[in-house]
Amino acid sequence: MTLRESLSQNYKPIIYFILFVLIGFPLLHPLGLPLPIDQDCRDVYNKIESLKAGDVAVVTQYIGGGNRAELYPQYKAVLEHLLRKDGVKIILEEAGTESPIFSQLVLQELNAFKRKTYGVDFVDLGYIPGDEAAIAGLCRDLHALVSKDYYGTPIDQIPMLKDVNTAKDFTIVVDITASADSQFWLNQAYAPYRTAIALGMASAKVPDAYAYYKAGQIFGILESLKGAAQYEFLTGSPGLAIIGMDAQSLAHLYIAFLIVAGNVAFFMGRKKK
Amino acid sequence: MSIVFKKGTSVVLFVVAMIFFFDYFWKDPTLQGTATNLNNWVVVIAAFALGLGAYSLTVRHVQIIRKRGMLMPYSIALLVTMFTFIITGLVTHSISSPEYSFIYNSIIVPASQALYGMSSFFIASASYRALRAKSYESLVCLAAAMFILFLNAPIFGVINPILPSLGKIVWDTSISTGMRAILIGIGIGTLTTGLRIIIGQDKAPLGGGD
Repeated sequence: MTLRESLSQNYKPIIYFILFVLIGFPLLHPLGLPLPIDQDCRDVYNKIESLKAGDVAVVTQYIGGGNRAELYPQYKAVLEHLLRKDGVKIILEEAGTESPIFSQLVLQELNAFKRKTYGVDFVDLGYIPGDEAAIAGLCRDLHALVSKDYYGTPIDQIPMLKDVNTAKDFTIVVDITASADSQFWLNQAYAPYRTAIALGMASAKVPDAYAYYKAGQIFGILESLKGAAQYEFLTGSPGLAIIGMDAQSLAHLYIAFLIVAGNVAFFMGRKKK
Repeated sequence: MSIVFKKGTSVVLFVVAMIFFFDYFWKDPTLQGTATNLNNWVVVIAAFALGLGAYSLTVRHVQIIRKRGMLMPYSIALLVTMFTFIITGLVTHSISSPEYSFIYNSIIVPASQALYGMSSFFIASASYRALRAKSYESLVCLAAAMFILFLNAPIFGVINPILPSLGKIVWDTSISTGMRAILIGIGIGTLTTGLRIIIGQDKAPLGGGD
């Protein structure tokens, strides 16, 4: 068997190895490729930047082990920005059974308990089962739905929630998810109360969200790892997402090359026949 | 009995749907309180459903283990994992305790991410083998895929600033409008199905139908 025949039969390990190197190398040695900022990401940044003391920001997430790489950097970047805003009340809510783990992790990593006062500046409501019904309940009457926060403190004893009752009291909602619950917030918060909503999405869900963004029903989108990296850049707190974008860029370039190479091989093979 | 039960549930469904329907348009405090209570019941039922899910999963996999078939090792793995998490959560009274986080961060997160990350290798291999311009239609799909790649990876903007702009045109025109058409279609479909269920034309969700 010639080298050419061997390569044409065993090309998969070669493709995998090159991809592994292209992803691994920039993670160890970041390339610092330029990162243009999308308008939908800038809109999220500008809206959060415009929040004033007393405004209420609800940040909800459905992060799991599988989508952590795409969504957790978004969550961290948005919360970092919100924690910098003086007087803005932050309400965390989780839509997945494993999501509270990531809320606790981000609060630790951002040193939230030392930077702000729990119960006055931010609160974690924990996981609320029920999907759309849970979101509807939060929007209708938060106090009727939730009796205790994540740590077991009665909601009535949390000072920042005294004047927060319905979605009318939410200044913005940022929903970070790879699931259908982004649609639930539109149904339950935007449609009846016109609450401003932004979505942080995994890449597969971005086309859904973009239709709502273009229609003006959501004020911004964080598009997967790219959105997280752009947000990290805008907030001036570079993290894993910016490093990850270099790896993703090289992987995308490689995939484009493979598409072209596959087609060249296909047409050359057809010509020979 | 069954017919009476189905009729009864149909009536309850209709009444509940009407409460939510009128509550949306008329902000009456009594109606609003009733709708809020009904909505909160769903959340309570969903919480119970989690426990019921764990119970049925246990029963199903205990049956598989008893049969000692080929799937037995997987069922054992599932039950051991599930009960490890449940017991750790109950003993430590928290899912963010160091013990719980250790198990989650050292087993679930790497395993899930590895599984998710592996798809990139399959995509790379498939882009060489499968994405071929065999017809005019496949050429259009291929071109759209390439343009979206140009848009999503900043490196293409470094190579040539026109490339992301081409992607943006495809994104704003065909993808955005196509998705909007799909979403409107889904909306109309949901509305029609909902109306059919409310007026009793579609009995499948109540355990009836053909």
